[in-house]
Amino acid sequence: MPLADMPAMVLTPARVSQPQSEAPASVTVIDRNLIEASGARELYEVLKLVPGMTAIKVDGNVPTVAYHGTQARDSRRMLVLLDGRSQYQPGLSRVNWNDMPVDIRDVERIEVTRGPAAAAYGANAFTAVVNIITRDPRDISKHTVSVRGGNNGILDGRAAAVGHGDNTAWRASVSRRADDGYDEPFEGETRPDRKRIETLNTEWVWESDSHNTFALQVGGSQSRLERQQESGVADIGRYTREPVQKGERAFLGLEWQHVFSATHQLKISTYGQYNKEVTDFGVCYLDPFTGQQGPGGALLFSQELRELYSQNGGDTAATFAAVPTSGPVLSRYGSLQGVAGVNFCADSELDLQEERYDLEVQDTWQINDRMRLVSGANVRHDRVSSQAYLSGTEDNVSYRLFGNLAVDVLSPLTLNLGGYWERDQINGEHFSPRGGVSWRVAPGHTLRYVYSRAVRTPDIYEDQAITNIQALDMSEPFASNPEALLGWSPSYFFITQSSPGTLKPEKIRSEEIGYYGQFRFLELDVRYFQEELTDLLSHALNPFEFEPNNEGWVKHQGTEAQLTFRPTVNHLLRLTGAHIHTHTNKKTETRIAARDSGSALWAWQLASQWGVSTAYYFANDYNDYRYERADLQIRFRHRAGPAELEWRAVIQHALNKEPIVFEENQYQEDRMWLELEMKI
Amino acid sequence: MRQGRDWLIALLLVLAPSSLFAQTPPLAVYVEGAQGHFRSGFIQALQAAGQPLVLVASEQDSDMLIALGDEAFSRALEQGKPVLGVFVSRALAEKVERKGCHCAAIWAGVALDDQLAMLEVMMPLARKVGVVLGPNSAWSQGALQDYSGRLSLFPMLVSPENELGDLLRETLPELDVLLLPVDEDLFGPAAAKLILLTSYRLRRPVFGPEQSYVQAGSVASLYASGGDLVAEALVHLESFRQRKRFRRSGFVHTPSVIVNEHVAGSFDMRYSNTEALRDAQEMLP
Repeated sequence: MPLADMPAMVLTPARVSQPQSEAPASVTVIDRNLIEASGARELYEVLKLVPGMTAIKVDGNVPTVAYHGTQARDSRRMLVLLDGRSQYQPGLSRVNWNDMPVDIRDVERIEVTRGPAAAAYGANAFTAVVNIITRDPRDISKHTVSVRGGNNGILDGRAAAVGHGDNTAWRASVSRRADDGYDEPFEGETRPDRKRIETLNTEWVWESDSHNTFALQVGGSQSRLERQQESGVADIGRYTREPVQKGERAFLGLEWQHVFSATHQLKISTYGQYNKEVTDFGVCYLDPFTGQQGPGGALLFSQELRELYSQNGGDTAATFAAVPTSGPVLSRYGSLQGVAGVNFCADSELDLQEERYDLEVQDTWQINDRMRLVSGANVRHDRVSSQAYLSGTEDNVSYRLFGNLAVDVLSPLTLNLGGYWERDQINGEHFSPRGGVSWRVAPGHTLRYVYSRAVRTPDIYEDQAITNIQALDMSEPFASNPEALLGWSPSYFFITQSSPGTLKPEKIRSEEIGYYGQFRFLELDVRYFQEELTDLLSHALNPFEFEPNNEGWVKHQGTEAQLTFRPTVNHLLRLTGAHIHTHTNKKTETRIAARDSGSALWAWQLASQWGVSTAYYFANDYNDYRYERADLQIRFRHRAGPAELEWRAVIQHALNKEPIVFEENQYQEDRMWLELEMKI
Repeated sequence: MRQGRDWLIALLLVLAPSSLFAQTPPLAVYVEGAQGHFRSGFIQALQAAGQPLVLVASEQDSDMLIALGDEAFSRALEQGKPVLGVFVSRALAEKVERKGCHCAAIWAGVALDDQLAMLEVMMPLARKVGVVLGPNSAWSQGALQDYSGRLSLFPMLVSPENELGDLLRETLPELDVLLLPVDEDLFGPAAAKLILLTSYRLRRPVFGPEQSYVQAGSVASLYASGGDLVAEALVHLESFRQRKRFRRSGFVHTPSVIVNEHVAGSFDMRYSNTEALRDAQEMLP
């Protein structure tokens, strides 16, 4: 049997197919059955089933998913792969779960490697790797249409088609999902956090002969998200148009697998990704002297104030303190007062375009009965364009070499050694090593020790930021004559931030001792770990707050466990838990660092047509707020002519009235929805 | 005293037939089957067994026929002599037995319960077992219903309307493991590729149906080896020689085990070696 066809319990930890007991990491596998049992609407939600993982909506409708979470809006320390394509975006170091071009029902399984895995995937596989694997078209036989509607503005739909030829198979799905976000009014107003997302995900597979398989993947997404007002902007103006973020994504991926022999195979994969995000908003700015709306608000976009800001070393407070003694600024302010009876209003946008081109060659070789080697090379070109964040376009080309060797040293002992070398234009050279030993103490029972190091390299924004927020569509008369009234055209907000370009990569060093065991109808994984994160960029880096330094550090120490128990054929019980002590020198790094967290999921197949599942999630705490939620799902399946129908009713019930991380994130009502899926 | 003598006479009458059989001449047996290594090896093993048998060169000189495989079995039945079929499909054997043949058969394959017992040892987490069945499979749907062990069996019936590929795609994701019976019609090379590749992609291990599948990539199987078939045939022959009638048809009672260590290892199965596996299997209720 060729290596390519070998079954693999886990693929992710070391890029080599290997049984979970021999993997050099703790692994959580969430397969399609578990995804369906969870009742989750959105992909990020199922990651609540991973011990130590935070998966919550922190910023209104924007999820934060983080393993051993630290900062509240932090999804930059974990790598996410979608069918091998990195979803870690180069511009602003983040994973955008909303715009990921895949629907939860396209997913076959998710493998989460808990712990650093940069030795296999390079920089930014920092705390964990989430590997999302979509359904293979060869394993789908029916077309599907589904609709879902519920309270809280939930309105989703999906259509998927599949086809098979002699040696080919394809699938395509389009989906839409929308909801109104948190429904509890905050300070008397409804939260602006509606969202609407459409995705397209297709795959075509061709087995040209027994040695060669080709795959083509094409897809994309578009989104519209209401965003909350930026507090820095709200302090100096009145929003006339609420911020709305519009996103577009497209990708094209190609893969060729060639089987040389039963023990040797080659995989060449390449992909291109395009991502565009624009958040636009309109504001009437306040006169900095009077605090009222008026023409004086235009001073904030004047050339003179920008120059004064620069003269004061980018210190906003010092700039305003110097205004009374600045002749040019006072002169400009005086001339603005001559424009009587109008307010200065302008639209602005935070824009970002990211492109990535990636080519990778991977060779998998079973050297002999005791040794397996995965090695390869990768070249990647990232390009980011942004007027608001970079004032232009920046490129980063990186080159990588990697290798992971698994050796059965003695019959019960497996040694995993891996390393990843990379060099990029921004961060120079790095090497991330990992070593692991698995000792099979008895059939079905394995102890492991893993040591690993990883880096998170500063992203293009962190390294090259030159922020410039431009005044667009200004109110009259400013729009007609910006040079005369503001001193320059185009006109920018006076605050600008520049990265020093000297930031170092964040580092992590991790050690773990783990146990993986199988008993009758029961599977258990336990992990004790210590992690040291150093050189962290812990402070805010946005156009209003910008403190670039590597002063942060975090130490995690704790235990995690996951247990799967199937007492009878119709019952599945899955428990996870994590107890983590977090120490840090920066308060912001503890926002979502819960001391205790866990989940319990119970699925019961009542009869061939009826199924019930219920889940409980808790975290104690996120930003001093305890998180507790219980879900219930009832499923009913029946035939209607040639079609198979499945009805699902889901209710998600918050077990307390605590907000989620921040006080504005609250649900007033339980979320509930009804779904109908038809397969034909 | 008279009563005691009557009892002794009765006992002698009961024992007499067996003592008479002990003096019956050896069976003259002809082995019907395609010329080849299997037939010659089978004949050699019978000769080496030291049983009171005479292997004759033609059907006419024989007391009974041993037929190796379905074709030989069908041919042998036309000779009008008692026939013991070896490695014969269960469906064929039951069909001719219903018609009243003077025959019996050692069915191709192994007993369902035996395969399941091995599966249980190797996969303690498994609960839902899909069993692919066709019209000529070694196990019937009834056999699945008769199973009373801890596992839940899900028959996957292949028919012209229910094509194997669609059946696998639809059913396999909800199962833990797939079990295949011996069925020459159903599990040819193309089907083997389809089953194994589909199951690997969906990460569901396949057990059975015999050693060639295991060599191709199924996890493990009990199977009737040449030696197992010879040993089972000798039991049948001795029974026939002594009683002039066949034992009931069935699978071999002590099958062999084959495990694909690479595949078993990939699925993290509890397995150290085949001997340990056999021991563990015998411990099962």
